[in-house]
Amino acid sequence: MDIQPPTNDDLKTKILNRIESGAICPKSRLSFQGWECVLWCLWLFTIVIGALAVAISFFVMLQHTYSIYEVTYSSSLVFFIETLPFLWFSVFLVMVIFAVYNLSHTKNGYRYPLWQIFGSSMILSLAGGSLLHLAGTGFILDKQMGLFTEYYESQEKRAQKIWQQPEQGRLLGRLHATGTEDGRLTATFVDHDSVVWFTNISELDSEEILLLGSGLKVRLFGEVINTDSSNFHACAALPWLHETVATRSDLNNIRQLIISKSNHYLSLPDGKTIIDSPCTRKFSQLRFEFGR
Amino acid sequence: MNRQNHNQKDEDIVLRALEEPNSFGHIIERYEAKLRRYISRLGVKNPEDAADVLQEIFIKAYINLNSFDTSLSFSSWIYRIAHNEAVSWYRKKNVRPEGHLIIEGDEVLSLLSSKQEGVELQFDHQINAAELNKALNKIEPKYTRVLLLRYFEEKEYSEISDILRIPVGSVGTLIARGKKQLQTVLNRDNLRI
Repeated sequence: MDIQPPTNDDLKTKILNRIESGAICPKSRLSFQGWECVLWCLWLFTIVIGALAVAISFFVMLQHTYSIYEVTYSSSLVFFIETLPFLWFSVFLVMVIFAVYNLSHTKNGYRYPLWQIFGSSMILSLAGGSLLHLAGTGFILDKQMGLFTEYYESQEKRAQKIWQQPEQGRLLGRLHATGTEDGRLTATFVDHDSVVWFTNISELDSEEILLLGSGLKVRLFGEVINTDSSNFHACAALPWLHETVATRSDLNNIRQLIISKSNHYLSLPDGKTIIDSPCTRKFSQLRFEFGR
Repeated sequence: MNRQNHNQKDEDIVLRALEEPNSFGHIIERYEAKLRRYISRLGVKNPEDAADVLQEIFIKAYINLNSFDTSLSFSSWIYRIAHNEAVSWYRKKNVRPEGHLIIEGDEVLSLLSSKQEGVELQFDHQINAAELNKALNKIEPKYTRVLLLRYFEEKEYSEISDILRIPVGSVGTLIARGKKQLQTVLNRDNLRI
């Protein structure tokens, strides 16, 4: 026997009775608007976090370490692998994915193709990140996170680690005092680990000595002559650039300084080279891949 | 349904139903048959099941009346709810949807073969509807859904976009691909040319 579908009135009456007896009421418009608002806020939040990740990534990629990477890394490939901010790239990508999810779940989000939602979220994060980078936010955020989070390695912490390696000929610290010994200019230099180094600074030029004398944190590039007696021979003194945002000009100047010093030691006007200086050995180990 | 209600727009009835629940009865009257047919095509075949699903559709529609955006079509909005309910029903029942397409099969076939849609297919208009029914049940559900809405429910692309919550461009793509898949699946031996 065929089962007859209920009549129109049956269904209507049943539904209206259910609404009445169950005291069913339409959900308030506010709850729907609230949810929509939550989705947009989450979207905005992910865009902002993505933009911050971009700002830090730009800061990491465009600042500091690249200017004289030949001094601290064996090759450009090693430099790129070790310095590229993979953590922030990942944060950026995850945020873009969340942004796409939030946006496509808004009331009208389904109307836009995925590539448009993905593209717009990505472009907004990149544009926001570029502006934040220009405003110095990447630098501030990276530095502050390094200060307040033990596990986060800021660019400053990373640079400290790289430059506080006496065995590699790199020291980070401040000048304590200057003097002369056997007619050579010397200095006592206190490094980042509070070790006092008796440093020969006779091969530094006047600008470098001025920088050293400023009392600011300075990077020294040279060679350890004697570890037991903490003797160091300085070949170059470079400013520490992690107190404020370094400009492109600062970075270019540092690169030019290192390159010109290297040229000075490796090719003298008369075609000879200084073979008895530790600086000759140190500079001969550097391979400048551009700007020479 | 009296003449006054008959001429009223869905959107106006919705606004009235928010104040006066009995006005929602007019929505039920307008959409019961359409939605019954639609969910049946989606696979809710048994009349008792269909009545249950329909009840749920209208109750959900009533509860969510405030989420209806009056700038959109009410029909698309309630079809969306119906679609979700039907899908959730056959998920609960753990069955693959098998629709009833028999009645309008021939008519739909002529639509499917329309060159206006850029389809290269030339279907035999005399094909029996059962073959089409079988073929539609064999193709991927995502294609079945758009083809059902386009050719059986005669919805516009923008309406299908609102019902299935996919971009309009994707609707066109799915329809084109669905037709191709349908062509492959249709057993040509059974066509009466």
